[in-house]
Amino acid sequence: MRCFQVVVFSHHRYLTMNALMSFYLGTQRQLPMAQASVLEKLIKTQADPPTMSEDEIKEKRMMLFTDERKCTGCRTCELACAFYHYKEKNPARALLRIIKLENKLRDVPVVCRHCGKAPCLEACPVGAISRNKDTGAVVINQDICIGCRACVEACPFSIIIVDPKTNKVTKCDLCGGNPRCAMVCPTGAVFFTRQDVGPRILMRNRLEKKVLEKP
Amino acid sequence: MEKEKIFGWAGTIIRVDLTREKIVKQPLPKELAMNFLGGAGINAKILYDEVGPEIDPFDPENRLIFGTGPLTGTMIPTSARYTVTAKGAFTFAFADSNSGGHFGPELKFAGYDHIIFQGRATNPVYLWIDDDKVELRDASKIWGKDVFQSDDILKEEIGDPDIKIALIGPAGENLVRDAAIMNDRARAAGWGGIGAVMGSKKLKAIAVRGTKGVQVAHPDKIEDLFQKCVEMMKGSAKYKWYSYYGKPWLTWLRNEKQKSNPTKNFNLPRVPASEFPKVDHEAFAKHIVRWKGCFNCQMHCGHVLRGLAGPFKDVVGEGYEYNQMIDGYMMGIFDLNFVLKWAVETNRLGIDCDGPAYAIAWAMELWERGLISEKDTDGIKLEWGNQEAALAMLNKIVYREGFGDLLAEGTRLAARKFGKGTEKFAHQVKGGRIEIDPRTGWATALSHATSTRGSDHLKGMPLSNAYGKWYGVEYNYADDSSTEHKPEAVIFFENMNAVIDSLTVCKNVTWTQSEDSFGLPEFAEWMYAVTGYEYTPEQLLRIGERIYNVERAFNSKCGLTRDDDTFPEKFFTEPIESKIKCLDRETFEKLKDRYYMLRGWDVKTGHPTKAKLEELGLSDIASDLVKRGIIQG
Repeated sequence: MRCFQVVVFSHHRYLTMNALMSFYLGTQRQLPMAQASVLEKLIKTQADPPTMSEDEIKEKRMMLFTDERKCTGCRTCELACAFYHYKEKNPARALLRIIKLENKLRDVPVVCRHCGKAPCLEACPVGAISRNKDTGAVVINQDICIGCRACVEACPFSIIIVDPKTNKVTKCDLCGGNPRCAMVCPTGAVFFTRQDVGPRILMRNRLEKKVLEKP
Repeated sequence: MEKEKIFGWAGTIIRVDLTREKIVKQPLPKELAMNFLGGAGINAKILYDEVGPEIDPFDPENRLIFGTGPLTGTMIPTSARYTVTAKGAFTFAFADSNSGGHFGPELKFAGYDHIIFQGRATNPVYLWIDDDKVELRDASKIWGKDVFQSDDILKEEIGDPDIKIALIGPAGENLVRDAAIMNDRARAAGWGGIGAVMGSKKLKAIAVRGTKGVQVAHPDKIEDLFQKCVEMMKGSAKYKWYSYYGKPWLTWLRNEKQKSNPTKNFNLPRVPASEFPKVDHEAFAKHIVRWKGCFNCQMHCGHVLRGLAGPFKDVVGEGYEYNQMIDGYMMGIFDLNFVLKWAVETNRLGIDCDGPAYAIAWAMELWERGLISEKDTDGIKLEWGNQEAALAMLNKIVYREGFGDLLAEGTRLAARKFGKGTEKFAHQVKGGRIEIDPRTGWATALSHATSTRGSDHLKGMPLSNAYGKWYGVEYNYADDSSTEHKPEAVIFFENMNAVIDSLTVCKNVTWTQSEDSFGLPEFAEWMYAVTGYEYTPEQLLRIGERIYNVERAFNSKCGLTRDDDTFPEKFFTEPIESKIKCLDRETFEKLKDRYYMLRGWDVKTGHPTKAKLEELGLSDIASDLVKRGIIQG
């Protein structure tokens, strides 16, 4: 329910802000770099048609999945994430989070789900958030981002991060198609697989009631 | 002058004078970092330099030193640990303790390698570290509260649920000599009574938020190194056991293979076969809800567990392992539901799980022998296997009420105070509890006797064939019946473990436990990738030797000698079903002679010699010991 409300609210804001933007900025607004490259890419793909149709590509897309019961709370993923993006060992800057609910003895991995109809993308008043055509990741273009944090509020999973060092809004970009969190997870609590395969793996985990392999 | 860029180490030490409420930040001296690495090593050197033999563990002038190592918080596997060092509450000499979880790395991310506490606060305080901001705050609101409550209140007061806190519970506040410093609720630095030292300083907690991270020298190497290490770790023979059962697997190993498990205050050699299936690793596995790991650990040897039957059916809690199971055996309680309750209660009250269990087991033996009765124990029936009595007594120990006040002194002091010849039932070396029966073999015996922090298996007990691998000799740690190679192996392990505790990584994934896991060559590789300094494995081992000599020298300064490196009478006279039956005193003393000689220490006194200390670059310590008349100039 909460999710629904947020989406509607942000969508509304998105429309108003965009209308205001075009009113004030008009033609002065330059085509941002990211959009230019997207255009370039579009032109390129048109010249070299893909073997799969767009629908097929969407279906076979790889995505992140989490299985909370397998999470040991070790935060190796946070460390690897921050290291990949900033070349420093600093989980405070990680783009996914292990939330430690200590009273409930739970460790919950929270990752960006790169929603099909992304509330963050819709909430962004300046169009800084877009979807990467190759990986399907919803990404922020820091050149356009104005740091208003509307996306932070819009995200139903609250997994858009405000970076403690730069105070900029950041989010998961799937490491360009090879997410480090899934790569280093020792138990498979965070895994990266085809969108249609992921649910089946989760279903099996649940049915087998098995968390780890017994020696 | 511009500060030299350092990698791995954060480069800053905080010194907190609690009496004068003064906080000073100092740069980490490069010389100290190069020669002692960090963690336990630097802690030990600072302790030696600043605490004299005349200072009581609870004196404001005692130091409480927290230390992380150059690898803490980096992507090196199991880089989660930190070490706390002080003059120990029950050893009255050197004591350090090591804990995992998430506190150590957070401290490092805030930008600090070590914190040194001295003095005593007038009113209870806690230290709040928010990156560069470090301040003492009033802790009267949480003084007297248990670990879980205090943790909740602090997080709410600061307004960030993800801060990491190391704190003491009522046990530390009441100066119980087995009090622990707890972090992440279920992780404890429990050895040496350092929680009581923290309590004596009226310091309730240290709360940290770190967002600065750690810089590494060769970031391009780290990711590959990580993958390589994880593969190696997962390929090691013991990995699958540790990652599934955790340490409780060792109960089976000890009971069935080594034929020894401390049971009923060492009155039984091991858990009887009729009881063991109820309390072995398979029975343990039935309680598992999920697995828990420390920061950046791929081994995940911790668990969340739930009770299955009996009065503790509804208990759900984190983290009991080998030690808590031993506690049950010691008190003659063969019920894992109780063990879970015991683990949760000791965590909640902030006390080391073993301390009260050994003290209660000692009292239970007195009860059985008719030396104490209900009149002494405030009406609690301390019979073997009495679960209610054990829990009631635990509470009394923590709050130092009635008979609990005596047991809160730890077995050695309690027996000394109680008298009546009960000292022979207190199984300790230098005040430290004996966790692995020394009668199982000579290396076990030697390492437990010579450990610098009291009888302890984590300082030098050979638990793998790494010694043989390193020196290229034939050596089988599991065959502990001959004395051949034993002093050499113990020395090697002592030195190597000192390196591990200083880096700091977890011993479970290193040569300490398994020779096909990480060892000195890997440490050197990691140090190069993280700090940029090229150490050879031999140099690291040399540093380990230096650290161990500092610890030993501190004990010498505090008046310990060769005579303290021995066991209670029982282990020399009462045989068990092992290859060496019981310790032969003559062989044991000969073994010690060889150990001191190989160490380069005085065979008569057990003190490090001037020549050895100078050879290790510790001439300041050598001249100090000469000045005090402990060693000859």
